[in-house]
Amino acid sequence: MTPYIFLISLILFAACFTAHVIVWRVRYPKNRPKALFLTFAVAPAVIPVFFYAVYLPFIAPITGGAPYFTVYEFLSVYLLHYSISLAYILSYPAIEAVSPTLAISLLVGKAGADGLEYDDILLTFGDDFLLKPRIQDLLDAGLAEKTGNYISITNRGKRLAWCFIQIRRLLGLPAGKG
Amino acid sequence: MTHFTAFLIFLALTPAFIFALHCVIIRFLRLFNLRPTEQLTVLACAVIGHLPIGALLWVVHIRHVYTQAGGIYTVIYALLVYNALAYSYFHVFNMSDTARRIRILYEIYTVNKIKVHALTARYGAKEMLDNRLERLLATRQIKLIGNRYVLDKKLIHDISLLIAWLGRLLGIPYPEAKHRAADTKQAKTASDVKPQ
Repeated sequence: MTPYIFLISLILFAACFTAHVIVWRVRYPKNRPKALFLTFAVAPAVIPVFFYAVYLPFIAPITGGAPYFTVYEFLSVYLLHYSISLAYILSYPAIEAVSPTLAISLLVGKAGADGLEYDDILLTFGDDFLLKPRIQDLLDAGLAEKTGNYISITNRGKRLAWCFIQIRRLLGLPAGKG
Repeated sequence: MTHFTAFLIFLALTPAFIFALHCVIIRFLRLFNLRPTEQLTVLACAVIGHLPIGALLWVVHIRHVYTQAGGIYTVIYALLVYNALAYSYFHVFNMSDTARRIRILYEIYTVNKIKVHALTARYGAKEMLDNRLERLLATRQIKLIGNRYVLDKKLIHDISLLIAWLGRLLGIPYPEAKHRAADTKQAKTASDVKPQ
């Protein structure tokens, strides 16, 4: 293991993050999970493909073989990059969908020593703010569908719900409170 | 398979190790009738997980690194990857526990088909708020003085500020919540001020 592994991983993550900021500011993507996946997972994977398919056979003979990366170095760089990217991607919904927990904390913090009463907080977080946008997210993501006044779950939604139920069952926990 | 490949594979399997540890620790705590918050339990698992996973990585690879600098870099690398993946596991678990979308999905899953107003009756804003206040109080992020909630420890508050900053950086308009709350407070303060 060399310091270059850290440096290259950091540069790779910083490049992906910069691309993410630019894309989000220029044209806010409609399908954000897909855009995040493409930016942080698919785009960086082009580098080793380029290295083995183009650089090694065509460019390396001209440059005398330098720079050269072993498969282990690539694996190390990508494991670190993907670990950090995964942590960021899983944090992202809190930025976009407004975590009520974080918002409550900000509200209470802003109120200072006076604090806030329960009703003040409840007034801020009604169904229109907390529930309806999340139902719309489920409809947009194809996890649920609306027919007339009814909302039903799609097969994709059933699979996702089943996964979470199984995780909690294995942990010996009841369904989450939300 | 070289020992370095085994090292990378074991490191990549960190979330599975933490999940297994989490299953054991939850049952162990139950034996002693201890009931910490679920978030605290996951954090404890991630912290405790450093020991068995560190020992495993030491046996499979780190002890074979022959230079001192190489060993130090390998340990730092393992710590970075382990903690990033442990943090990711924490988020996935948190989604199963606290995410509104997952809870709504679960509500629809159990009945298959539901009217929107029936859904709000089963899982409305008041219940969402109560659950969150309960968790914030349990983790001492806020405290109740009289009938008013005030900030206690600042960890979640500081994370909220970071998240709000990231939102601004990405150009995502920060939700109305903050402003609406400020308006609510101002309106309340104005109504509380009685004319002399």
